[in-house]
Amino acid sequence: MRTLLLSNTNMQPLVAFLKPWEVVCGEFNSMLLDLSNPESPAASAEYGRILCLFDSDSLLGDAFHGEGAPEQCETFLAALDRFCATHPDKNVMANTFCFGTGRYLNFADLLHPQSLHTTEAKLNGRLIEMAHAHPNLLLVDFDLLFRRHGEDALLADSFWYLGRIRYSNLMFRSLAAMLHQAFDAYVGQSRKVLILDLDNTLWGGILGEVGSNGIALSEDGAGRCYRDFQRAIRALQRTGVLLAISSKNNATDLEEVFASNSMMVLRRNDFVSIRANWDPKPENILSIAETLNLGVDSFVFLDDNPVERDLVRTALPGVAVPEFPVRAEKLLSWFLREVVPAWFGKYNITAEDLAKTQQYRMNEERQCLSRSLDLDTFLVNLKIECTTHVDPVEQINRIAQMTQKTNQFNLTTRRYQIPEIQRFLDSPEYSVLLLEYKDRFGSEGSVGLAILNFRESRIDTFLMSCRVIGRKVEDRILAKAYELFRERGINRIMGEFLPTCKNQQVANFYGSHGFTLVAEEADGRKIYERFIS
Amino acid sequence: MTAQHEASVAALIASVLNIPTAAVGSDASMDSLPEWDSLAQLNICLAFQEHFNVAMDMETIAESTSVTSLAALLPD
Repeated sequence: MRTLLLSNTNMQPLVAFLKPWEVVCGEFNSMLLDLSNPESPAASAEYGRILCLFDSDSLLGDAFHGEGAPEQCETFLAALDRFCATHPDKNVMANTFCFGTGRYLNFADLLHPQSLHTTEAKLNGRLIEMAHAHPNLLLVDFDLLFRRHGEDALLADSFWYLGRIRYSNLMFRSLAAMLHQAFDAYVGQSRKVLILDLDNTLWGGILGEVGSNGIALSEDGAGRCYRDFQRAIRALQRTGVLLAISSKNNATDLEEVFASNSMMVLRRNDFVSIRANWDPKPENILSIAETLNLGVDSFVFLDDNPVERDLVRTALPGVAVPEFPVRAEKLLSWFLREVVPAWFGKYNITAEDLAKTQQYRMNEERQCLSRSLDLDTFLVNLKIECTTHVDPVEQINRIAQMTQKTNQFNLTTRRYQIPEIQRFLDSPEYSVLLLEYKDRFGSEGSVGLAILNFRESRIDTFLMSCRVIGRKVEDRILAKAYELFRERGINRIMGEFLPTCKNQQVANFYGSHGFTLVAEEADGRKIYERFIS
Repeated sequence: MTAQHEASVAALIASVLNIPTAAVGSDASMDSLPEWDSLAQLNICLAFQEHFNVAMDMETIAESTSVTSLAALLPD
């Protein structure tokens, strides 16, 4: 996918920082024209991603207080709105309005009814409404960059007058990182699990030496660094990230901390998996992966010890292992500014995200039950209740997220973004089936997805969350799919298996569900057919 | 010190212009390298500012169009 960069200033220096994205700059100051002209490069099929990175002060032009937002801002908003609506297949990334600190009315600005503050807030309100209306529009918050680095560090006045370059390289570098991270978050490419060390990571000091109430963890003094860090981890967990522990400690010492140290923000139940033992950490991380039924490439590992970090990086290259701050006072800002946006970025929080830890913990209880019963008795005992929704528009974020994140039980591994899902939902040639699961232990939310292509009588996508694998619920979504095909007079349907390095467990899925293999390609792709009456 | 400065400036210029380091000698300038045009000059100076933490005014940007003149801006 190629990217076109539009602006009202010279943004060419950004191109080098945006690698590996393949970015082409539009003509100088052609942003408004490109957005409005149906013959412009922006409208052509060549570009799948359009960056609209505009300078707010330039759009403001000569506007003075009392004049509100000048016409140019209105023209831009209208053009952006129309462009997003007429090109639902393109991703459009735009920044928010962020005016410079120079104020015509300096001290009087704050109280003025048409202050720059007010104008900026109104314009951004419009952008946010637009982003709700157009799922293909992705906003990045310039205010975050300016608050963090400051105007003095981000603006480059001499370059502005020499070559219409507004920003310093620090801005271009930070903006490129923000665009990359925001896009990854938007397409749901964030990691799922945070694995934590304990000593000098979640608290200060060595538990085995100082005991459960001797560790540095407090509301005042240096122990506050760790308590604040734990608060931030807890907040991250609430966005759907699973927490686990891999630590060289005695398990009983850790239980003692959970039981008796009142300064712990993170409690026993916040963790879906705990490995406190003396085994090598890569082994522990693999065993966590097995328990959770997730690949290690969805893991991030935090440890203050460089030897452990190196060991994990070498043994398990898929695990993300960031450097760790030397000073405890840097823990919180490092975690929030660097770790979270780089690996746990989220653009939308779904209901599933909020309940994720709970769901994995219920899974543990189910596993206990299954160990004591044979499969069929176990399944009867679970009292499974499934509902299949056809074209559930309100779940569009979750649907896109499932196609992005499901690796193992995924027959075709086709990754779709929100605009594409929108097209499937709207078109009579497609149906999107979403399976909701509930049993006596609780609700798992949406766990199964099928995308049916009626024009080609084909199951385009079929996937199940690994949380419910082995509970035979895939049959229910297949049954619903047959019903929809039948209603349209289709009695021969096609299924595909596209092999990846992760979906071997479903290599024979269609074969074991009444389908017949009709073709097998050299790349391992298999085509199946099935007649339904 | 001068030779060292010139070498690090040349390496920075090569990375901005996306050409091999060997192609940027200590005598290289806007006139000697075809890749070094007026837009590249701005890119080089943006990188120079950030890398060496030196603020450049308009005049300096306009005049510092060679490895030697850029290296001369660095403290000894």
